[in-house]
Amino acid sequence: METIQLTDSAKLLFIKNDRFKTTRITVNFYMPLEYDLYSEIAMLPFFLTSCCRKHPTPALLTKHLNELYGSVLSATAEKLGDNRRVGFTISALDDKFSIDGSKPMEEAAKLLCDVIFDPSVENGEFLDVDFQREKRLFCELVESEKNDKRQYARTRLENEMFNDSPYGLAELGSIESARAITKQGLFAAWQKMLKEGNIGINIVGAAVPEKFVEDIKARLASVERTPAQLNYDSEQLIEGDLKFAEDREDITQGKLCIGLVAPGGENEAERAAMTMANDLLGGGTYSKLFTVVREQLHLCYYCAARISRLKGYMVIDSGVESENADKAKEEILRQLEEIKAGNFSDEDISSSKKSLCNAVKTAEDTASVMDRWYASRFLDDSPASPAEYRASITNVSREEIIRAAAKIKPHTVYYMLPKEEEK
Amino acid sequence: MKVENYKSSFLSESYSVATMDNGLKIYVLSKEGYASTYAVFGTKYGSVNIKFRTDKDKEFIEVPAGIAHFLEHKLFESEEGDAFAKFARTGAYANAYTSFDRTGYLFSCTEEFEANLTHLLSFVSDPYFTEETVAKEQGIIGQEIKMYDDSPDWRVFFNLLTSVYHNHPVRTDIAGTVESIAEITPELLYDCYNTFYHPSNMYLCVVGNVKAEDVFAIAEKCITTKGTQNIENYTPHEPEEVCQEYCVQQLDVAKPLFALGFKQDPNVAATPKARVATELLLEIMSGHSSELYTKLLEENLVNPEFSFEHFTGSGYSVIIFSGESSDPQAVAQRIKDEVAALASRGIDKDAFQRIKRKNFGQTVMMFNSVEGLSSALTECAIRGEELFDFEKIYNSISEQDLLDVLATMKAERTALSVIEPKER
Repeated sequence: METIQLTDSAKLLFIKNDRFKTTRITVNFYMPLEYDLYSEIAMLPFFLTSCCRKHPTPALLTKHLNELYGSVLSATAEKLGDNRRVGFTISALDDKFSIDGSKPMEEAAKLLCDVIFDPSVENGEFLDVDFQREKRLFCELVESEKNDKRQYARTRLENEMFNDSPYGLAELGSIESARAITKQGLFAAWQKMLKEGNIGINIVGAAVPEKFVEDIKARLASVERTPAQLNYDSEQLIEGDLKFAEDREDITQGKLCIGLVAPGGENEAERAAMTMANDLLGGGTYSKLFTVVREQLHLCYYCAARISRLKGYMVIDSGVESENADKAKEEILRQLEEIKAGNFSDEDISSSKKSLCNAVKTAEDTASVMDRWYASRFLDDSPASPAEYRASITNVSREEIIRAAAKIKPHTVYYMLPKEEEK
Repeated sequence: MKVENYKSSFLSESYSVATMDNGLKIYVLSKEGYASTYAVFGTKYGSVNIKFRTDKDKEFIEVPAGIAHFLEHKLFESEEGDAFAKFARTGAYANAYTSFDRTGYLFSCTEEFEANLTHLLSFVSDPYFTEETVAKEQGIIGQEIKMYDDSPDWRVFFNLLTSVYHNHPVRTDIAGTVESIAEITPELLYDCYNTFYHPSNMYLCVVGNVKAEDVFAIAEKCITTKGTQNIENYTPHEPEEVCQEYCVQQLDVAKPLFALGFKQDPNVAATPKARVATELLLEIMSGHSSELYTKLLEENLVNPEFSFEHFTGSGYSVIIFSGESSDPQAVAQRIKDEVAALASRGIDKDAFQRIKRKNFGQTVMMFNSVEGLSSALTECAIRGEELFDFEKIYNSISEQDLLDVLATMKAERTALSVIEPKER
C-alpha cells in the first residue's frame, strides 16, 4: 500500500492489486456532520454523477460510459461517526483489455474528475433542467426507503436513539427536507464540499492511472480550500432509562429493533474485543441470537447484531410475529446477559475468530470492499490493514470479551407492527 | 473420469470440467493469488419441478409447491446436528438458495478448503428428515413467506408471473404457501431427494485458490453413488396467450411499482447467442442511453430504477421491464410502441457497436469475482455451455440476431403487474 500526499488536506491511498482486470477509484470528501445543508449534501453526489459539462445529459454521459467498455460510475453519501462521507467512484477495465487500442481506464479517471469539478454551470448556478430532474429523482430515492421494511425499521430506531443530533437523521435525510432543497442550496453544498472537504482518494488496482495524480492536483489547485475540522471523536450515547418507540405500518411481518450503547474502546485491542462480543451475541451461526432465539425458541425469522465502531452503539434487528415481539425482546436481552456472564464456549470463541478473519481475508479479493475498508478508516491515525485487524481479533482473550460485553447497555427498543394490532 | 480443459489467452484464465462416471459434472477455475475459494454444490431442481418421474416410476409423481425450498432448509440438519456448526469451526461462510430451476449449497473460505469441501459434499449427500424437524421448519418457512409478502419488489414480480402463465409452475412462489407446505411429509422429502439429488442431476463449481486435481480427488472420495438416473419433468401445456393482461395489488409503497412482461416461446432463448442478442436488444431499446428512457425520464414517468431482464428457463421465457412510475399503464404503452417503432426503423449501427462494447467490457469485469464466476459456471453446468463462448459471440453477433429477438416480442402477449400505494 502506498500513500501519496497530494496537498495538506488531500491524500491518495493506492492499494495495489494486479489480480483484477479493473481499476477502481473513489474520491471521498469528509466533512463534519451538521444540520445545515444536510439534505443538499446528501443529494450532491447523485446530482453530480448524472451529467457534467463535457457530457451534458444523462444519456450522453451513459453513452460515454458505454464507450469506455461499460465503466461504472456511482455515488455515495453516508455518515461516518459525527462526520459525512460524500464519495464518487469509477470502476473501469484496465487499458490492456481494450481490443481497439483505446484507453478506457485513463479516460474513466478523467471523467471522474470532470463530474466532481466541472458540472454544467451557467451564471454561477446549476442548470434548471438538471436540478429539477435530479431533485425529483432524489426525492423518490428518499421516499423509496420505506419499501424496504427491514432497513426502514433500523432507520427509525436510529431516529429515536439520536433524536437530538444530526446523527439521528436518515442517511439521505427526510422527505420534507429533500422537497425543500433549492438550486442555490445545492450549489452552496457543492462549493462547501470543494472548499471544506477533507479529501481521501482510494485506488484499488494494478497501477495509479497515468496522469490522474497531475489532473487531480491541478483541479484542487483551482479551488480555494479551507478544510473543516473533522470530529475525530464522535459523541457517544449516554446510558439512561430504556426508551420505547412503536410504529404501526401496513406489514405482515413485524420488526423488532433494539439499540444498545456499545463503546468502541480506546485502542484496536478493545475494539476487537467489542467486535467479538457483538459476533458471539448476534453474528455467525454459532451466535446466541441465531442458535437460541431463532433455532431453539423460533421467536424470529432473522435476528442479527451489528456494531457501529465510531459512534459506539449496536443494533439488533429481527423479523418477528407480533405476538412474539415481547418474548423475543426479553430473550434477546437475556442472551446479552449470557454473554456478559461468559456463558459461551471456547469453541464459540474459536469459531468467531475464524469467521471474522475469514470474512476480512475474503474481502481482499473484492475491490469495492477494500475501497470501503480504508474509506471508513479515514479518521484513524494509522488505519489498521486487514492483516493487522485479523491479528487483533486472533489475540482477543475470553476476559477481554467479557469486559467489553459488560459495557453494552440497552438504550432503545423499537417495534414496527402490523396496523390492526396495538402493543 | 473425463476431463476437458478450456482456456482464454486474452483473459489469461482457464478452467477444467470433469464428468464422473455417475454423471456429476465438476467445474474448477483456479484464481492465482486470490485468498478465497467459493464452492457451490447444486442440483437442477427448483420450484418448477413439482411433477416428475424417473425410469423406475410408471406414473408421474406430483408434490406440493415449495418442497424444493423446504428440502434445502432441511438438508442442513442431520442426526449429529446442524451443518453450519462444522463450517463455523473452520470459519467458512456457508449458505444455500433455491430458485426456479436449481438449488445450490455453497461456502466461501480462506483456509481448510479440503475439510470444507468434504463437509459440503457429505452433508448434502446425507438427508435426515423426521416429523418433528418437518413441523419446526413449517413454522420458520411460514415466517419467511410472510416476510416476502411485505416486499413490493417480490410481489410485483410474482404477480406478473401469475398473470403471464396459466399452468406452468413458474407462476408459483418458490417457497410455496403456508397451506402447501403444511402438506409436506418426511416421505415426500425423501422421494424428491432421491430423485433430484442424484449426481447425474448435480454439479459442483469451484472458483478460487485451488487446483482442479485436488477438487476432483475430493469429489471422487465423497460422491460414491454408482450408476446414472434419468428424470422426466412434466411440462404442462401452456397457451401462447397470457393468463390475464393486468393485475394490481396494494401495499405500503411511496410510488407505484410495475413489471411488464412479454411472453415468449420458451425455445427462443435456447442458445447463448440468442440470450446475448436479447440483452443487447433490451439495452439498445430501453437502457439509460436510449431515446425511450431519456423521454420517459424527461416526462417524469420513470426513474433510474427502470430496468429490464430476460427471465428464462425450462419451459418459460419472459422479457420483463420494471421500475417505479406514477403512470405504469402509460409506460407500458410506450414500451410496446417502441417495440413496433424499432421493428420498422431497425437497429442503429452506432448503438449496436457501443452496447456490444459495454456488454463485452462488463463480461470481462465479471472475471474479478470468485462469486460471480461461480454463478457463471453454474449457468454453464445447467445449460451445458462454455464460459469463454462470449468472445466468439461478440465477434459474430449481428443486428439481424437482435431483430430476430424483437420479432418474438408481441404486444398482444403482454401482462402488466402493478403494486400501488395503499390509500392513506
